[in-house]
Amino acid sequence: MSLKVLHLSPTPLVAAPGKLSRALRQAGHDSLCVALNDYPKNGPLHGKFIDDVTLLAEASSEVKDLVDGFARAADVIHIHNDLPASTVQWLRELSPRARFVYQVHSPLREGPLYFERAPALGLPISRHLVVGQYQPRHYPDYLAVPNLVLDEPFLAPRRDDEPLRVLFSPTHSRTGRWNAKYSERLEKVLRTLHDLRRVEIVWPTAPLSPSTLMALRRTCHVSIDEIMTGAFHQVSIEGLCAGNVVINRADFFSKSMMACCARAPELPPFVHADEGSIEDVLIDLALSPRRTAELQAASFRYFDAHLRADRLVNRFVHIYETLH
Amino acid sequence: MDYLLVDPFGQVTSGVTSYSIAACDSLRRLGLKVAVITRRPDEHIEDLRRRLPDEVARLACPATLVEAPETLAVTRDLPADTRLHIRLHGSRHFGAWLQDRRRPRDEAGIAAEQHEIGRAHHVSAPSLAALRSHVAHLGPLPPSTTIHPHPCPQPDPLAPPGSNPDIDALFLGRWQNLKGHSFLLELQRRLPHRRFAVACGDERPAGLPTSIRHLAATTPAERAAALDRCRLVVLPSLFETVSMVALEAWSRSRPVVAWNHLGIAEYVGAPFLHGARPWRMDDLERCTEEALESGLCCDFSFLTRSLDWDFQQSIRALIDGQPLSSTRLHPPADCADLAQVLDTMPALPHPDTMHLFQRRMRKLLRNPAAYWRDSALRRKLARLQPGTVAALPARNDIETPHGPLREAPEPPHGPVAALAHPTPDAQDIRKPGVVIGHIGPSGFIKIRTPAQGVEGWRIALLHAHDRPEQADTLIERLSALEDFAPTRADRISVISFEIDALESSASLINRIDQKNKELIGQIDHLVMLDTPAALARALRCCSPRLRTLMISTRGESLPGPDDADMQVRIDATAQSSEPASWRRDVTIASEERLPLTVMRLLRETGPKSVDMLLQILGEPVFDEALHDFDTRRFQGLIRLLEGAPLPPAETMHEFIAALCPRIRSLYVSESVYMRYRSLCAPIEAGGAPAALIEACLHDGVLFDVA
Repeated sequence: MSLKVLHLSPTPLVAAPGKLSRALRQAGHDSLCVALNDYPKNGPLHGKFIDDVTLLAEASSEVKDLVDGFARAADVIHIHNDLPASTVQWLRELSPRARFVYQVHSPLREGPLYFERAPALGLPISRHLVVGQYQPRHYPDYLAVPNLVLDEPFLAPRRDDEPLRVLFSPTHSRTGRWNAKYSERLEKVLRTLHDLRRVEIVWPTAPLSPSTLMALRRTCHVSIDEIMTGAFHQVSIEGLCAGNVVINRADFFSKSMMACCARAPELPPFVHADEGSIEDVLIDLALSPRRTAELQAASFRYFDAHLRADRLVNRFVHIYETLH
Repeated sequence: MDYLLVDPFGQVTSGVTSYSIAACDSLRRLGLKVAVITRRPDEHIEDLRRRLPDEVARLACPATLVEAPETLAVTRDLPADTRLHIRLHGSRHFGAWLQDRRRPRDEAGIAAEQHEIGRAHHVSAPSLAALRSHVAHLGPLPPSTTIHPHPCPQPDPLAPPGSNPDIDALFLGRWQNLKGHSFLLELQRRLPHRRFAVACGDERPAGLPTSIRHLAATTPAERAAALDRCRLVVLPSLFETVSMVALEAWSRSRPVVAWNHLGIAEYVGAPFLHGARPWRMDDLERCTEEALESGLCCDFSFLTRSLDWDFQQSIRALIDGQPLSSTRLHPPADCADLAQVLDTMPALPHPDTMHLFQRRMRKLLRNPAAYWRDSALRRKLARLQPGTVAALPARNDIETPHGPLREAPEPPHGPVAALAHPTPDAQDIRKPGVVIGHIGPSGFIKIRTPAQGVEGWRIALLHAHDRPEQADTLIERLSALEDFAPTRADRISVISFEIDALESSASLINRIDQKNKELIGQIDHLVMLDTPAALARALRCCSPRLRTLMISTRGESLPGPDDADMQVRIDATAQSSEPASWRRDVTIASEERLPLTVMRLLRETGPKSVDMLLQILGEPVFDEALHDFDTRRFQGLIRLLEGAPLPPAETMHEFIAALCPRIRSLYVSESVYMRYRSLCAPIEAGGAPAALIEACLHDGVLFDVA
């Protein structure tokens, strides 16, 4: 039976709700993703994650009517992270027949949420979900669900005569435990290895759209996520999809959440590194094309077997279908 | 034979003897073939030196490692091809110098020891203090000298649980100046309400006040019995490379109070060892009181097993020809330079006034064999070395060249205790404390930059606006604890609040903008006096680094364990306990105990300079990976059963619950243990580790899982 699912989020949330909405449509359901606002206009993320997203801020009346109508008819309203009181009031006034699902993407005690928002929403939430990365440790009773990557898995193993090509998307310094992804040491190591011609570092200096970044990733052998917090992020999933060796500092519990979400019997083939070991990890890879190729193949196999969007979306469909 | 130990003393009061027995036992449990060659009661040291080569030839093969202490150069006659391992236990010559700086050095004896060190296959030390004191006072050491801890003696039998100690503070060991007996007498004088005892020999030491009991301690069983009767052990020695007394105390789950320049202070800190700055009796007194006041866990076995493994691993590596140093030994952050400590060693206030002749006669009556043995040595050395004073009678006084008692100098790093003189920032200082903000019933919550302090030790106090006296009293009493600098009045930030009791935490958080959340995040420990749960929760949400301690003077409990990291309830009717649902939850009977309790909790949960790994679940087995474990990368270690598949789960809670039966062993760093002690205790009692793992993961602790 086809479901009608409305996704609502305060911002595009790096396209996570949008991808889920699109995956639902590809699976034969009707879904609309609405974000109240895009990222700030003068920021690097503005306009980059709205491909599958309808922005409500400054929307025309036709768009607002579309959203109103969809919300009224929706079977499920899937709320991401938080909504302002005005939006909650709007939902109540619509008196939708929909069941509410809440999904959290962010940690506690740091931005953007700081504390558990679901109880304060004032809506009858039927199911609480959490992104199955590091976040379940803050919401241990929420159902862990995967973030989706909609691309087809790809593999271009490194040849023996190829230098190691590494894609690194820099992040800026932030405070907090899980938001503090920036590593000055990592950047120094990468610059040094690049200057010594040990590895080729692909280091985008300007913000790129997700599709362009993914295309660039497919030309590389290695994707470096962050090596500070013990988590993995969307970069790691995209790296697996692109057949890259994925380097991060994800701990056992983060990786286990991915495996649980994907119903996979094994942990993802991430290569563990932190500030103390990143240099050695990269040099080892640089010196061994064969090992790089093997790890790339493992990434590809894992994504292909367990993380395809058309497979993972069924988890959401099952959740929606079993709501009370 | 894989390993031979040589004990040139063979006395129950000797640390080398205790070490040899413990080391032998430990290495046998590792599966090695070990033997100890011990000096016989009536045997002269020279006779042992001559006997040793035959014994080694009989027992050892070329690959056997022969370990001996440096002192007395007992290995002098061993052939050059012996695989010799010299273990630094502290030379007698250094001990003699400590007791009498004016006595001429026995250069020949020192040279003999240095010769053995020079020709040894390997040299190791049990502490940095041992290494440094040897290099500074006796001679150089090979660059390849390694450092690894002594093993802990295995308790046999353990005291029955719940046994009621009838001694507060125990001194165990030889009653002599080198062991700091005068400091103990002074300590007892300062703490007349505490029950002191001395366990040494079988006769009461002359001059021991009647207020101090004497226990016999001539056999290992008697020593163990004395330890089981006490609540803590005082170790006021002038110097120790380690202290087998401390290790014995830990093996009986007894904490130790000691000067923090002793080698044993590099092994672990509070609550196992309370380190006082050298020669400061006020420090020693406070540490003793603090240790007695704290409700300590009753089983130190995870600590002793951890030290044991480190020792075993180091010896195994040595046998394999790849010696390595332990990374666990670090001097306390506030430990002064050893040279300065020894230079400022005071004259002791209670000298042994017994005349030399009286002491010799006493020795003749108590131990005729030792008397004749040592007298023969003295005469022999006197014939061989004219002018050398060969006998080593205990000196009555220790005098410094600088005159009367002087305080130890300020240590170069770390929290420095000082007298509580307020700093001159008069405008922002309210006596006591530094006011940085007020949380009103409406409007944005704004605070100023918290009072300066060492990272990890910035403390703030939150109190109700209409009850300032409560905060003032607490700060004054905390500030009076001079041995803990972070609680000085000029280092405690103060915030008052006056809010609507019905205001929600969401509303409060929304009143704190990003900048003020970051300012709140600069506080490391927030102590909250009778604060509403919503405000406690709101402030805690501002930063993942912030640790909050809720004090409830009315005995009430906060709604949930995520409202604060720790809570202290004052409830005269409740039993002192630590329930298992909170990370730390302490109930005390009266407000009198509050300052010490608060200080103890802050100290225990603050940063640790020595953050060792402690096992709390599983059977102790040798694990090489433990040696290289870096608690800066991971704060815990989980070993799963082999072949255990990943448990399927839909939530983290389900995953952890399914994982727990697959856990073979669980280790946490000491700092994690102290932060989550209320959750660790049930695991040590046989419970499941799910609650602890969930709490740790929630707070950002990383586990290495294999």
